[in-house]
This record gives sequence, structure tokens and C-alpha cells, in this order.
Amino acid sequence: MSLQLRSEAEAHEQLRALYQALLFNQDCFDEFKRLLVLYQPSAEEGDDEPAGATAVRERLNERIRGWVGGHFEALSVLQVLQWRAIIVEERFTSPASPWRESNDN
Amino acid sequence: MNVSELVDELYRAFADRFDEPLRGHAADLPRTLKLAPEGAPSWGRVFGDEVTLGAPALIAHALPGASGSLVRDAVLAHMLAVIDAFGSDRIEGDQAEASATLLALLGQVRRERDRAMARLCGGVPPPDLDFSVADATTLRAIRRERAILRAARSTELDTYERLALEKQGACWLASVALARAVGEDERRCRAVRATLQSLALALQIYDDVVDWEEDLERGGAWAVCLVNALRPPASSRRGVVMDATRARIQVLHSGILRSMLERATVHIRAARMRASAIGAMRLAAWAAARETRLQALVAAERRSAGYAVRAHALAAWAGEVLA
Repeated sequence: MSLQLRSEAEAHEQLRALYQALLFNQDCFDEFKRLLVLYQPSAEEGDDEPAGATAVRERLNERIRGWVGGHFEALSVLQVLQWRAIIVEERFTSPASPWRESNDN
Repeated sequence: MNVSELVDELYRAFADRFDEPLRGHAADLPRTLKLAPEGAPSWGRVFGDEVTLGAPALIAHALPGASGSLVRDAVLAHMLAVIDAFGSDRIEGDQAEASATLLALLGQVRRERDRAMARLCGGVPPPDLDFSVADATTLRAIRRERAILRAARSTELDTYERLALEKQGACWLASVALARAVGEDERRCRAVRATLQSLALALQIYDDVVDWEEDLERGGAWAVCLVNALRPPASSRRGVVMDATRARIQVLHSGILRSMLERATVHIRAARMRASAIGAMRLAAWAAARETRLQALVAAERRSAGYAVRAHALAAWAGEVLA
């Protein structure tokens, strides 16, 4: 396996570990969401990440390392924003529907 | 043509009959009703399944005599009835502004729905297939639900399920009308109705589980009302006002989410068996897949309270990143 493939596989495993931690532990999920709510990115696209947001992101990465119990590549600004969109703003989930097919299991 | 494409084609034909700006508003209706996050996606993609808007097309597989035009009328009547029911629910719940445009559009939705139903019935529909009767029942149920949820009133499961069913009273009329139109006897028509009722209940309960915290933020959640019914008799028939944090702890510790998912499993199993019995095999297969998923959620919920809610919240991310 090439170094690049191994690195991608490791990154995938880390994300899977984070997913499992969030899925099976309500406290992890709650804290994850709370920190994402606190993460306030810059209003203008392309601007630097504000110091307060950097501190929140560092705290988030520190907590994730604790949950997954080992090495975890820090979440980037873009990744935190994507998580925020999904978990806080719910921009990637459908709204309530009594007839909806969902993807979870 | 698959069912989602049929839904889109029928809705497009409905919307294209209007002049601007109503045509534009009709195209934008999923977003107006907060059923699509952004843009104006087609109705066929809003729910991600064929059942919600296309149920009669799946029931038609069990009806050999159903012609293409009858099925199209049944799907049109059904999908417009469901869209109208969502509209009423959103307006009643203050999730959509009751603007003159939206009210006019929903009025057109109901008129077209009724025209399609009249074609299906070969004239004025009989009272048990009359959408206006179902509309009144739905509205009463929605308002009663709001009152119960806002007061966090202690509610037993059977009352909750009865209300859930009343809220969706329009969801099986077109399918039953289609069965009658092709000459099915009353026993088969009742079976069609029972199949769709079981489906509606299963999916409504599932939805009330995964969205319970959001519902609570908006004014009330069924999980809280059902938990209150588990409490000692002294407080059993009155609303128990509690803050969100306390409500959350009580719901998670009570096991009520698992109980609700178990009920959803019972109903989806009934839907699967009924669909199979009437010969709607594609619908039965869909229900079987849902049953398997619900069983897995019940087991996971038993191990870790709140699992279903978290799984739902993480589903989009998991689908993108871990697939």
C-alpha cells in the first residue's frame, strides 16, 4: 500500500472512530454540538479565522482526540464548517415527514 | 417511468397551467413549506422515497385492471392531498407564513386534487372518499395535537397513535378510490386502506422519535407527553411543565424513544404483511427494508438511549464521508 493510500485509509478510520463516538455516546454528541454552536466563523469568505473561533476549533480537536482515544488529524476550518452545517444548521438533512425514507441505521 | 418521475411530471403539468408569478411560486413550493433546504428541488426528490407522494402507483401493482390514466389520476390526487396536508401543518405550526400567495396556491392544489378524485370516482366521490371530510378531520387533529404538545399533556400511546392517524386521513383516499375504480371488492379496499394506515403510523412515529428535540424547541414533543403518562398518577392528567434540559434527561432515561420505535416496528411489519397479502410486492419490499432498519434502531436504542436521534443527525455526513 502506498503512503498516500495508507494515509487516506488512516484518515478514514479516524473519521469512522469519531462517528462511532458520536453515535454511541450522548455526552460526546452533546459536547460536539455545543462546541460547533460556539464556533463562529468569519462573516466574509476568504477572511482569516477569528481568534475566538480558532480557540473553539482547537478545543474541539482536543476533545475529539480524547473520545477516539488516540491520534486524530485536526479538523480543518472547512471541515468544522461542514460539521456545523450538518449538525447545527441542519442544512443537509430533510425536514420532518411522516412518509420520509431516511438513511440512518 | 419510475414513480418519482411520474410525480415530477404530474406536478410540472399542474404548475405549468398557471401564469407567472403563481407558476414560479408553485415551483418553489417545497422550499416555501420548508421541505427543501434551498433551491427548488422537484417533489420527486424531496422525500427520497416513492411512497410519500406516489403510494397509489405502488398499490396499483396489486390491481391488474388499473389503467395508466386511472393510476395517473390517483397519484395526482394523492400527491396534491399530501402536499396540501403539509401546507396546513406548516401554516398551523407557524413554520410557513400564511401569505395570500401560499393560501391561493394551496387552494389551487385542493381544486386540482378534487378534480382528479372526481375523475377517479366517475363523479362526486362518496363521503368516505371525500377529501373535504378528511381535510376537516386533519385540521381538527393538527389543532388538538398542538394543544396537547404545548401543554406537555400526559398522553397514552393509543391516544397518540389515534391522533397521528387522524392527522393523515387524506393519505389513503386516492389509493382506495383507485382500488374501487377497478372493481375491487370492499374487503380488498379495506386491505389497501389498512396497509397505508400502518405505513403512515410507522413513519409518523419514527419521525416523532428522530425529531423530538426539534419539536420540543418549536413548542412541544410527543416523547415528552408520552413520558408524562409514565409518571405517578398525581400528575398524570395534567401538563407537566419542565425545562428542556430536564425533559431531555427524562426522555432519554425513560426508554420512551425505544418504546416508540418498537411501535413503529409493529406498524411497519403490519404494513409489510398487508402489502404482501394484497400483492403489492414492491411496497412490501420497501416496508421490509424499513422493518429491518427499525429493528436495528430498537436494538441500538436499547444499548444507547438517543441513538436513533443521533444516527439521524449524523446520517447525511456518514452517507457522504463514510460510504
